[in-house]
Amino acid sequence: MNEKLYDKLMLHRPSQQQPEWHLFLQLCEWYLEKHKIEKPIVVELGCLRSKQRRFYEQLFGAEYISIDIRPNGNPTILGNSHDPNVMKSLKKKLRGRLIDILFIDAGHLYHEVKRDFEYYAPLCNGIIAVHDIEQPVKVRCDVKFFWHELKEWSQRPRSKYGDALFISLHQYRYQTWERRVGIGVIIQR
Amino acid sequence: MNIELFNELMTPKPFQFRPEWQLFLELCEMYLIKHKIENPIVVELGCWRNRQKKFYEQILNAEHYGIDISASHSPDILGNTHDPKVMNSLKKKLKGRQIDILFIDASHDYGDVKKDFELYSPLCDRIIAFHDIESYRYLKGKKTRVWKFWDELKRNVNKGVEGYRHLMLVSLHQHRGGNMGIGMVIKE
Repeated sequence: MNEKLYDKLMLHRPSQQQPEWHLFLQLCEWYLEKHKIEKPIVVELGCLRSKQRRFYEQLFGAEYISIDIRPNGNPTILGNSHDPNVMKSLKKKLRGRLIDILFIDAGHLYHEVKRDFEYYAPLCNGIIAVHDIEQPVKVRCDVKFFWHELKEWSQRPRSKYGDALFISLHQYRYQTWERRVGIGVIIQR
Repeated sequence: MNIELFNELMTPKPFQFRPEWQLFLELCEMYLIKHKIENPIVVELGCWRNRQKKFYEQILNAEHYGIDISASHSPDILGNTHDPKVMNSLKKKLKGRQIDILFIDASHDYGDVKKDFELYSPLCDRIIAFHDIESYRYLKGKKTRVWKFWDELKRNVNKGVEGYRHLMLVSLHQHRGGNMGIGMVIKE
């Protein structure tokens, strides 16, 4: 990875923990090189201030589409990720192409992240990442339960994700308000 | 990573599940490049026919030491990993240097893995890997409980226990075809 560019982009302080984010991007780059994907399509559900956009665009030359319910991050598609109109807008932009990297970071309650996964994962044939798989429940975050469930599902006979590689990246964080973050990564092929 | 060489080395098959093993080596290589380590020292506890040796030596250009209790696995150091004599032999070979990659894959009992970690991790200041962190997780009554130690390690990181705060944990796992899983603790 272009480390100088990465360091420069980090000055904009994305909503990501440095070591996990760095390793996640390295994994993405490894995957894209392995499959010779030159202009990947990246979709981010829940983009906060859209600070991750420049990483995908400048490091990978990606076509980036963000979806968020809040307008302050200037998302490509404004709306709830569960809204059928939002899905329609995304499909229009995709024009039948599949997503290479899907980053799920919208609603953090169990049913929200589960629905996001069920809606959007079929549109992706590459990497599916789930953010905050280690966040404590007390901050209204159930992502870790969904992540564990997903891993268990992959063990069932005929599971669609039986051949997928599950990777979790996690480091302790000092700031008390978001001590644990963690990125769960599923590489489908 | 040199994929052609990797594919060539895959015969005879190492005791590793290909997708996890390949990504593990890729991550090791990324790490070594980042930290400009040209000749890493790799120590493998439980080396099963020493078939991983050639991967470390040829792909990562490593100095590799396999330790195993069974002579049939042709280890570099023969003996129980908990035996002080084995530790002494290893220390002689290390000559005061630190291990860059420690791969723990000897006895899979919870207590044994824990002891291996406690004994050998102070000798390694880079990557510590555990094999079989997912094996038998959902099967009760099996003695293989590396997953239990891995989960404990994760809890310590989550709680920010002294000595665990700077650790980055990476787990690699694919169910179909192996259900083994590799856990990596990256210290730096």
